[in-house]
Amino acid sequence: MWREFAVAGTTSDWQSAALGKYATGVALTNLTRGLYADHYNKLVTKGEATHDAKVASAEPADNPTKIIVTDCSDSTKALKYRADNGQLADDTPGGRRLINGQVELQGDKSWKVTDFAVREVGTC
Amino acid sequence: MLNMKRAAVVAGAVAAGLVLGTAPAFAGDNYGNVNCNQTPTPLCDLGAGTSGDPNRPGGNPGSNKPGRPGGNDSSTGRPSNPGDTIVGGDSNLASCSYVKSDYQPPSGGVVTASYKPSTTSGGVVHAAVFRPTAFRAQAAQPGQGPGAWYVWKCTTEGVTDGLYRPPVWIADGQQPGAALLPSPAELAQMARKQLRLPSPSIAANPAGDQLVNLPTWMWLSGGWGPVSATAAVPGVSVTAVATPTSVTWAMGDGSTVTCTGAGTPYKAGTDPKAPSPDCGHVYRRSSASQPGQAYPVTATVHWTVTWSGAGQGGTFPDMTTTGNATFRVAESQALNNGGG
Repeated sequence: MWREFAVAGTTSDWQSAALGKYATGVALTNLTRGLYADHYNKLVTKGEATHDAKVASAEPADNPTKIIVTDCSDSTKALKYRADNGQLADDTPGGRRLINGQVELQGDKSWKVTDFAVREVGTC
Repeated sequence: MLNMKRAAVVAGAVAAGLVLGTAPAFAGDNYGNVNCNQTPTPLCDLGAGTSGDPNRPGGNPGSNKPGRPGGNDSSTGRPSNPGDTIVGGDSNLASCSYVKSDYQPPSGGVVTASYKPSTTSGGVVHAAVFRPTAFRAQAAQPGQGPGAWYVWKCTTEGVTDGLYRPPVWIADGQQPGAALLPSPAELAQMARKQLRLPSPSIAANPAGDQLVNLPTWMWLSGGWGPVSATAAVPGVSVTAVATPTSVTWAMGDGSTVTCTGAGTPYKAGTDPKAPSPDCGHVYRRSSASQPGQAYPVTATVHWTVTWSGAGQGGTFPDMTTTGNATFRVAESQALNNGGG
């Protein structure tokens, strides 16, 4: 999901169909809302954050349909830039952010992220 | 104070801004618009019974949730006109404005239309709407009645982040329920964040180099005096006031002097050997051996911060501001002896 987000972010393509490949529900909507804001602000994202995702819990235990994933993402090299001149949008740095993701089994047997929570820089 | 008529017109925008959160928008990293401040979700409340970021002391993440998307002019029931501001003649009032956008949610996406977490003030808790089924039931999207998606941004006088936040759906005629309005305590947090404390300006006598064994007068030529900021929603206005209470002077020679006021400015004609009546120091050693041959001097102003409004009030943790200077201290004996 974050890879699709990073690709869409290079042009702030909030309508990217690829976003729905691994995300749905609140997660998908919030990705597109965020990209829309970048698009509206004429900003793009360059670079890709690193991830270190681990399964934190799964339920029900015997036959999971919902998994909570804990991730520590480093966004140091994934920053926003002005689309018009390529300059850094501001001097706010990235950093290590704790991310909780909720992944649920879909009706078509695929797993998709249904919700995510990205915390402040410095939370992991 | 706030012009009430003006307040009525614009307060809807403010209320929505508070519900939506007016934490500054930063471009920053790739998560700038999809973090728990800008696009909060129930998952942001996961863990340890907290409802937000523990790294923000005093912060109330409740006011940063999308709550019910949308700001309405409570008198007309329509979204406030984009570009509304409430700054007017009063300073330090936050304002949020909305611009209709062409955003459309993706198919398969849902919106946390009615999400509002518990608040520190014991406000309304809507645990039930956290259920995924409730989300879908409450999903606010075009097609469920007239409305539109709005991008929005907030401005505080003197501080404009200039960035639009992720779009929110505002249904035409949607009234912000009273329960969604921020509490006085939440407003107080807003007001506190809007406080702009001035940096202290250091002044001293003698105006140039200080002399060993000669009283040094210290005072602040600026950065001392009450500062206030106000946040308001319909019917409620809360003001936070920061009041300086003392100055701690680190003189650079190992001495610390605490003064309960800004200090008395030295007036020409005063006996230069007389100590300051309220804020002074006597250097016993020259600064010749110091880096730069001067003592680094720091003045730290301590502020108490209180708030009041809507018949309530409280105290925030103290704040501090700091000013720096360097004092050269010469041996008067050396001067007398002409270095001989």
